[in-house]
Formats: sequence, C-alpha cells, structure tokens
Amino acid sequence: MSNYLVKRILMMFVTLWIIVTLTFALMHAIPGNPFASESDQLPEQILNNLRAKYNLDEPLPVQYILYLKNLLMLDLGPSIKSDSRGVNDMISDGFAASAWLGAQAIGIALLFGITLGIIAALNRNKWLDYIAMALAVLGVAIPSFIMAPLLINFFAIKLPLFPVATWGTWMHTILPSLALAFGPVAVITRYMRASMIEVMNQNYIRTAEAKGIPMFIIVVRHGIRNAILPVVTFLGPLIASLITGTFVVEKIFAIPGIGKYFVDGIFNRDYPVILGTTIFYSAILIFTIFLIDIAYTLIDPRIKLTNKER
Amino acid sequence: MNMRKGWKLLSTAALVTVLAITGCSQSAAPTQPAGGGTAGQASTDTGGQANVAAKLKLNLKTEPPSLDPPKGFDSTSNEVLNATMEGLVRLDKDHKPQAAMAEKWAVSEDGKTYTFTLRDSKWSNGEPVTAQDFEFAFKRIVDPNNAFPSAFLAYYIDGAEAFNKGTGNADGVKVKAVDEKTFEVKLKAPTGYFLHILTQPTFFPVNKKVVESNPKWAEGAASIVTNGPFKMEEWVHDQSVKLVKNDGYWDRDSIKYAGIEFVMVNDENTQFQMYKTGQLDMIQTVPNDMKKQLIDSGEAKVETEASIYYYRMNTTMPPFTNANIRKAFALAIDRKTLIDNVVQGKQIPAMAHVPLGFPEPDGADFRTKGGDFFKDNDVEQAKALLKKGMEEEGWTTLPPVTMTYNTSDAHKAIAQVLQEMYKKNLGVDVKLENKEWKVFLAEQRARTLQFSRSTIPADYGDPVNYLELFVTDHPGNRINYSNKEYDALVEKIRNTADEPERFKLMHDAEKIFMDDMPLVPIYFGTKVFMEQPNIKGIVRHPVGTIDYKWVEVGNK
Repeated sequence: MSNYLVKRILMMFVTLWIIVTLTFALMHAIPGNPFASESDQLPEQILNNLRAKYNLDEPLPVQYILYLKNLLMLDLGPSIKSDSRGVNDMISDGFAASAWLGAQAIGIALLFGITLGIIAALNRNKWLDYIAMALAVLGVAIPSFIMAPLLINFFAIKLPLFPVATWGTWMHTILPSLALAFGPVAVITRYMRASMIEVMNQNYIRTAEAKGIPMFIIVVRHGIRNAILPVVTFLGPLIASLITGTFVVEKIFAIPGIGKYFVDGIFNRDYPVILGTTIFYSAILIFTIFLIDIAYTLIDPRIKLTNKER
Repeated sequence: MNMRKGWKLLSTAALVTVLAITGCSQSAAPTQPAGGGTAGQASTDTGGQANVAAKLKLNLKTEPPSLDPPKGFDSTSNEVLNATMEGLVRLDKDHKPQAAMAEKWAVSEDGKTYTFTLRDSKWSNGEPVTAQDFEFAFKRIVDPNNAFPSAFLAYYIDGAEAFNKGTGNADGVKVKAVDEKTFEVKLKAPTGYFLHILTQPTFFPVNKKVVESNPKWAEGAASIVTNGPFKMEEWVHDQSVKLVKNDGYWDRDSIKYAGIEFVMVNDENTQFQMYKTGQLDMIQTVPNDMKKQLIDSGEAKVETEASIYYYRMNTTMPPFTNANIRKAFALAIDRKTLIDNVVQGKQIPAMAHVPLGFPEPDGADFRTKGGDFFKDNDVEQAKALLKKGMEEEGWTTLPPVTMTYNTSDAHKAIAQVLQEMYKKNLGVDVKLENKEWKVFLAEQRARTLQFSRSTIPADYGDPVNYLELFVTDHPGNRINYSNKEYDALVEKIRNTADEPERFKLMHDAEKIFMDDMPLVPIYFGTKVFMEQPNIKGIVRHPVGTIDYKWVEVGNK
C-alpha cells in the first residue's frame, strides 16, 4: 500500500510537470502580447522596457527554466495585467471565495441529487419518478447563465429575500450556490437513479426483503452503499471544477473568486496567470482523483488499489 | 460488521467534505457585515439640499489594474486615481485645465518653460506636498526600469525620451524643484496643450519618501498615500474600494459628501439590476438590448465622448492602393441608419477624423469648426468614385476585400450591416472575418490586415492626438499610410507656439488626410449612462476620466 502511495504521488508530480510544460508551450504559441490594448499607440521602446521587466525578452527556454525555478519555490510570479497582487495572492484570495461557494454547491448537489435519485428509482415509472426526471432534464438543459439571472430576478428583485450580487455575508452566497448546484443536482439524480434501479434488482436485496427487513433499512444499508459508486466517480472532477470557481456564475453575482482568471488570463495573455491557474486547477484535480480512488476502497472492499494485493 | 462499514462510508463522505471546506478556512469566507447600507442611516440632514454624510455608491466593474499613477494607464485605474489624487492642474466642469496642486504658473516667452507655484496641500499621511515630490514623480515616469506604459506621454519634457530609451539619465530630464513650492518643467518644443496633458493621472505626484521606502506602496489601502479630494479607507481586491473625504486636501470645502463606495460588478445585467434596486447611484453603461428603450424614455442619458469608431484601409493592399476607391468605401455607407438601428447610443455620424470634444482657443469645438468632409450615404458619388478608381488602376473586377473585426457581438453587427451596404450601394461583395482581440491587435499592428476596425479614444485633449497617429510609421498608423506633406505639417504643428496658428495648421492637416481618405470613419462615440435623480455634479470629460469631486448627493 505505501509502495503504491509513493508511486502514485511521484506520478502526480510528473503529470503536473507535463501539464506545465505543455501549457507553457501552447500559451506562447498563441499570437498577441500582454501589452497590446485598444489605444495601442505604445512606442517600440516602451514595449521593450515592458518586455524586459517581465523577462519576456529572454529566449523561451530561458523563460521556461526561470519559471520552473520559481515554481519549485511555489512562486507563481507577478501578474502582468494587475500590478497590485502576485498570482499567488490572486489565487489564494480568490480560492477562498470560490471554494466556499463550491463546497456549498457540492453539499446541495449531493443532498438533493442523491435524495431525488433514490425517490425516482424507488418509484420507477410513477409520477414522482417523472417529476424527478423532469427536474433532471431541466437541470442539464438550462445553462447557469440563464439560471443565475432567473434566480436574481425571482429571489432578489421580485421577492427581495437575497442581495442581487456582490460578496460579504452568508446571504450573498445562497443564490450563487444554488445556481452552481442546479446542473450537478441533475447529473447526480440521473446517476443515482440508474444505479439504484440496478442495485434494487439484485438478489441480495430480494433476500433482505424476504427476510422481512424494513424497506428503509434495506435502502440505506444495502441500496445506497452499492449504488453510490458512480456518483463518487463523478464527484472527483465535480469537486475540482466547483471549488476552483466558475467564470459565468462568479461574473453574474460579482463573486471575488478565481473563476474569471481562467478566462481573463488567456484574453489578456497574462502568462503567469494562465500558468498559475492551470497548475492550480490541475493540482486540485489530480489530488481529488487520488482521494476518490482511495475512497473507492473504503466504500467497496472488492476494489483494490494495486494488482499485487489481489 | 455492517455498522462498521457504515462508519467507513460516513467517514469517506466526511473526508470529501473536509477537503472541500478546508480550502475556505481563510479570511475571505463571508464574515464581514455588509457595510453598504449604513450611509443613509448615519446621515445627518443639514437642512440643505446636499447630504454631507452621504456616500456615493458606484461600480468600478473590475479590479483597478494599478493605482500607481503612471502604471495604471486604463480607465478603471484612472477613475479611482482621479478621485484620490491630483496633479498640478485639474479639468474643471467645462473640461478646461485649472489650477489644482499648482496655485499659479508662468510660461516663458518661447512657450517651453513652465514654472509652477504649488499650494499648501497635504498628503493623506499628513506630510506637505512639495515640489521635490513632483520632480521625483516626473523623473520616475520615464525611468526605463519602471517600464511604465504611459511614459510616452512625458516625452514632451526635454530629456525624458532619451532617459526612457536608455540613452540618457535621470539628471537629463529637465524638471526641477527650485524650492519647496516652485517646480520648473522645460519642454522640447512649445506644446500648447501641455497643461491638458498634465491633467492625466500619469502626471500625478507621488510621495517621495513613501515610494522610496516601500516599492509596494500602491498595492493596498494601508500603504497607499494620496493627495486628492478623497483618500482610501479600504481596498478589498476584486471586491470593493472605499474612499472617504481627505481633510488635508486644499479644496476640502468644495467636497460636499462623505466618500465613495465602489463595488466591482462586471456583469451588465447585474449592474443594471443593482441600479434599479438602488444599490448603485450611477452606472456608466446600460445593457445593449435595452439601450434604445432607456434612452428614448429619458431614463438613460447620453454625453459626447472624444472617440471615433472607424475602419482602416491598408494603403498598400489593393484595392485600397487607390484613393478614389478608398473614398468610394467611405461614402457608400449610411451611418445614420447604422447608428439608429444597430449601435443605438445616439452616436454622431463621423464624416471626418478628429472627434468632437476639442475646444479651440476661441472656445469653438474643433470638429464643429472643421465641419464634415463629405456627405453621409452619398451613394451616387461613391459609385462614380469606384468606377473612376477602377479605371485608373485598369481593373475590371475589384480585388477581394476582407473586413476584419475582433470577436464581439457589437462589432459583428456593425460589420454585417456594412457588408450589406457595400453589396447594395457599390455592388461589392465584402468578406467578413473575426479574430480574437489580441490576435487581431497583433496582426493589425503588423499591418497585415486589409480592412479592419478600431475605436480610438483620446489620450489627451488636443486634436494632434489623432493627427499624429497617421504620421509615417507611427505605431498607431498600421495601414502603411504615408504622406510627406502630412508628416511635415504635423511636425510643424508640434513646433508652433501660436495657438490660433497651430489650430489652423491642424485643420489643414486633417484636410490633407481626408483627401487621401485612408479611413472609413463611422461614428463619434458617446457615453450612455444612468444616474439616480438625487445625484448631481458628476463631471464626464469628453477627453479624460470621470470626476466625482463636485458631486452632491441630495436626499431622496
């Protein structure tokens, strides 16, 4: 097991390094430079001064080595566009807000998704099932940039229960969390329903029923336990993407999260921001997938992490 | 046994939850109370119109990129800088430079030496603003190690360009603190609009001691030191900026309210909703699909802005090598229809190059005086010019034309209408092409685009700002336009001290340019904004930023 962990962790770093290298190469392959702007009258001399300041006048391999060196010290460099904070600060400040929202959204998604999925499965082809499935179809079909303004319109304007936007109190987090959770609720409901239906047809469930165990206990103890694996699989990438923020929902609700940096960084050709956000997201994704893999073995003892142990 | 497995399941769930939550244990977890609404309650009614305890609630849209004056060369930073700092002169309500940090000044006979006498005014840390601060700040603008993007604005100062290019040094920059209160600037050439240039945030002073001791001074509310009408109380990055009245400011009696609270909401519809629910006092843009309706109903107001939207024709790429064909393209479009139905911001059809918003010495507007150079939607003339141009070149079919714009719904809509107009009015099939913004800029600057759009706002308040862009090989040119006569005239304008004469020369230069017609001018820009009825006195300069100094917040 420990052998496996060491190998796995080493592989995580190799994966990250490959991502850094690829991103670095791709990002410099895009035409355009970070200093161009609408009234782009800057004389060549000023562009040269700017390039020199951010080491962009060095050959690419030198820039690459410099970047890796700083990265080893966990320094993601300065932002070219925003002078007031380095990329480390931008990410740590923004991640606090994004992760908070993401965690709430995941909580909501799991709670409602799993419940709705079970209800639908147990009432297969009855009206409860149809309602749950209709909700799920809506959730998948309605994008968050529609959902968010709708929520604002109903729960902040028509019924002024929540603030329209901005950040500050817990009340500010509710509408964006709901907007974020809506899609995942739908997906989880569908996964949960499908696998629950399969599980409930298994012989051991029938055995349990035959033994006269109450339905509630069967569902909780034997049903959910076995049906939840597909949801857990889906949870890895979901956690990674939700806690690292989303561009659209954060923009609409004016959340000071990191979602916008993923997009703005590229539009601005803000090289350190592009690399920083990519590395950060990749690291979180790789790490959550790792945790989920470990979680499998806890949920289902039949799953082993290594071949040897079989 | 089952129970134990159940616990395992639970602990897995807990692990996942902990992972999700540990990330949020930091400070930005929502803890601070919403402070926005307190202003109204705290207000003490003075019985008059204005509420001196009120705060102005505004939207910055995004984080200001930098509040170090020469570094923040963008409208967001400038909006905050103009409220928190002040240069030697400040634009007044009629957009003219007036005494500010400088109480008065004298200009030498040859128009090249300016001697400013400073007022008694204090930095937000209580220290007096001195001529030494100005000398330090001005040299700092052009220090190549700082790589400030707006450094070129200071090239008018003798020795500044050389220092910035690395061929000179700081001592060669001809700015001098004669004593605590006297500041002298020597220019390369008499520059009639130099005072206007000085109103730019680039030229705001910086506190020498503070900047020298802390290179990161402009990065947060705790360390930033300013000298303007307001000082910074709080700056939460990506979230809000709070300003309060600066009692050390020389003109503190003109400030009729307590401060400004900026939020950063970058979504057009959210911003509009916040305005409608009274959470914002003024918004500087309105949702595009509601623009016409809001203007027509009088809810949104429109003011002129010195900017122009045009398409550039590359003069070394056929068919735009021919002046008559270029003219045909400029004449063949119906700007009025385009503005009324597509752009919808009460923009002004542009039949010239220099926008509205540049006053002449006698007070008249440069554009009004210069008039239009052709008629809008002059289809007959356009057809004739196209025919003539093709004959001159010996073409029986027109070489293919591709219009390029940067990816955006607004630019796309305009391009499609123009395409339709060229088809209908000239019988020319124009291809459309869109490119991502920075790719577009890189190609335009490399002069590889044949027919491409631009919006050019003014950098400073003088028409030469526009004229100089099309001097041979200027970085703003981008279409290989070159006319020796024009170049010489612009050079002469730069060296003319007599203002009426200089303006006459600028009209001549514009005429030469419009005879060559390397642009299809489309419209002169406007600002479409909304402000609550109890807000008065926000000044929008056609050139330069928005000024909140003279605002009065009435009781609702």
